[in-house]
Amino acid sequence: MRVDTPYSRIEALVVDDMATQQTTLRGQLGMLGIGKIDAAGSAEDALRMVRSKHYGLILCDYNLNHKTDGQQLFEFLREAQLLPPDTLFFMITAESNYNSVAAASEHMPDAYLLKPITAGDIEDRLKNQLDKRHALLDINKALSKNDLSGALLACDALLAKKDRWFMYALQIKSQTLLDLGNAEEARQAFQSALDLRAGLMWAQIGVARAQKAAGKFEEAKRMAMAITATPEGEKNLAAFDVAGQAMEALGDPAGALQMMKKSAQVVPSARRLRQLAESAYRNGDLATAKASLLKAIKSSQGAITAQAQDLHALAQTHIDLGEAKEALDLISDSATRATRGAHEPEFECVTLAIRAQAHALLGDPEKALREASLALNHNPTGKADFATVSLARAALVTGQVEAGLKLISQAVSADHENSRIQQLVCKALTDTGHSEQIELVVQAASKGLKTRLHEAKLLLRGGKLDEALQAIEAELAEYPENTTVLLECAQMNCMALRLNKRLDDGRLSQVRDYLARLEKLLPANDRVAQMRRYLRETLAALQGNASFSMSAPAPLAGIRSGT
Amino acid sequence: MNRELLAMLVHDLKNQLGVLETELSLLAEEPAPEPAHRAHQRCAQLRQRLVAYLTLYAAPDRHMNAHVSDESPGEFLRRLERMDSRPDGAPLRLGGTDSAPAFWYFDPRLVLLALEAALHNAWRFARSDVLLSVRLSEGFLVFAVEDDGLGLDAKDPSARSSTGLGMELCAAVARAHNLGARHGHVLLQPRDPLQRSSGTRFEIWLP
Repeated sequence: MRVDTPYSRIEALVVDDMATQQTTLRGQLGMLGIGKIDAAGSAEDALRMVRSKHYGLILCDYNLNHKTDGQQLFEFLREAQLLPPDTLFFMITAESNYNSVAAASEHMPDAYLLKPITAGDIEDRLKNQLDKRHALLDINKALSKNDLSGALLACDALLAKKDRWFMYALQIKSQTLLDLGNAEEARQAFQSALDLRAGLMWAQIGVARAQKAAGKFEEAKRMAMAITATPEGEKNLAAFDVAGQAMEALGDPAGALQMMKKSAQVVPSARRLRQLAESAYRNGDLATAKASLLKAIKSSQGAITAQAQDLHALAQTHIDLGEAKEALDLISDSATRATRGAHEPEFECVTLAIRAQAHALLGDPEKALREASLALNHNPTGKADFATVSLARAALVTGQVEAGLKLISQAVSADHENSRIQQLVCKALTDTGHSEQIELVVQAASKGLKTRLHEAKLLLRGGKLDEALQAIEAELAEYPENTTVLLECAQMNCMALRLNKRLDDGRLSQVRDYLARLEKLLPANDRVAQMRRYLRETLAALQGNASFSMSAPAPLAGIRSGT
Repeated sequence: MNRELLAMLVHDLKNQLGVLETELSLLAEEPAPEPAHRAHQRCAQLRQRLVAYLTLYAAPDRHMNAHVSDESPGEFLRRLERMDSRPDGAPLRLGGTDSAPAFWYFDPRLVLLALEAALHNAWRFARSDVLLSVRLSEGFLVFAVEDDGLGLDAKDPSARSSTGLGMELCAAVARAHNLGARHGHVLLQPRDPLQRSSGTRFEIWLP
């Protein structure tokens, strides 16, 4: 007999490698009135099922006795945005795993349930989460429509009730203020949470993030480091991230690398190890880069977190270390060829570029030249990425200096204020014996763009609005992923709206398009948040809701300091 | 826990398992909801004691970590009221659920274990009343369990199986909760300070 309960409409997925445990969990969910229950025996099965069907509840065992554990599955689903906002994810763990997983994780599931669990335990957590969802409904509705101002109003309404969900509302409000680019208000909101409950971890991190968003990098770094010095915060990944980003913004990439080392020690996930390797490589710490990539590849091989690019990064590191044979072995290895993504044209192109470098190292210039030329035929324009730099390296070591330098110049221009790509190309030029070109190519590419942007601004100030916009948009057409140019385009179009004192729908949607592209290139970046705020203020001014001014958002140092 | 107490605990668990085994074999012969319900309760009690023991002694470095989260104390008491290990007819009144703060920070799993142990303790001594309450005092959230037994000097009606595990667990759970210089602690005192034999009051103070 089917009993109607508050949970009858929920469709659930049980993820457990043990058939008996699946049966028990099914039974327990059945006792709560949940009728539609699917089961998966591995992370891969679960992934397939989550992709094809909407589940209200996922009950997943931490230990799946396979390459991918429950926490990795959860984080993968979350990062790949495969978990709809209304799906609850409960992780079942043994006590022995719980302490380490709960203390240091990239993302927290909606609940951890400790074995042995009962139907009552599941019901308590389910009820709590559904009550919370109900209480936060208006806020989440607004957030899902990206209506941040509406979300703030809904937060204030919930805060006024001073009920059980007060701190949740305060947390969302503080974060929303930060997303809106209101760093100081966000800091005050986070601080008010700390005044209510000293030591609250999310609020401490929030204050540090708000300081960073306001350009107060020293304070942000000091606060984040202070958090990691406490017993509660010593494994806090977010604190390491804020500290590292603040250091990078302060021009201290070595300090940022240290932070990445620490966070990869706390959570040696493939993702953290990749980040560490990338930073170590840029900073010339090849031993760390190699060790981290080896670990990342070993831990993710055959798991859902495997990435073919890791193999290129490791192969390039081998080349830089003079280990040509290892690089060749790695990229011709059967496991490499079997890795997902290894048959994409771009992957093949980088593989050729690495082979070319390896053969050049091994004293086979003809083979190297042939492979480099083949690779160069693949790639028409350079981007600000690892693949372009690899290709440039192959060109440079096979005597195709002009093509190599052109790619270097394109990589820099593609995002000319991106300090990471500048580090990469400087390293490539130095390693291939072209360090004299750093000044000439890198700085010239960066300076050329800076000058042209400056000229466009002068046109704007001189009242030649259309010409200014034309000039800046021409730069964008040339470098569509240049974040600085995109930000300038957004800003100048906002200024044009203000100057014309007219709500021009075409122009407005263009600004929104620039912001959407920026969001993709620089997710959760402080400067993008500021630009969104400038657009909001522009709209308010045009609608007569605010005092009219032409002031632009204050420029911030450290464009890549976003979280 | 010394060897003697540990042996006593294992002995008691073994006896209870024996009873459960008998209950289950009878159920296999003749399934019936009432005895099944009792067997379930016994199972839940056994599990509670085993989890309490493991929580206290099985941590790798003997250090109990509190993972505090935002909880509703009132809602939390109502959860305890429904706990599986509560024997049929065991008295339980709730107090302070409406006046308690809307939220507080503590480790719900650990505090649940501690209060469950404290309640089982109280039921051993209580004549007809056990009150589980919550209040705010001196910046601490205080959960209290009161019984109307014969007080602190009363002879334990089930002394043979009492190992002190429950109280030890409660003290360790309290100690795991800290906020700056303020530390969690437990209190065991007469319910009425003037009448030592009119019931016992147990409190767990959480900063």
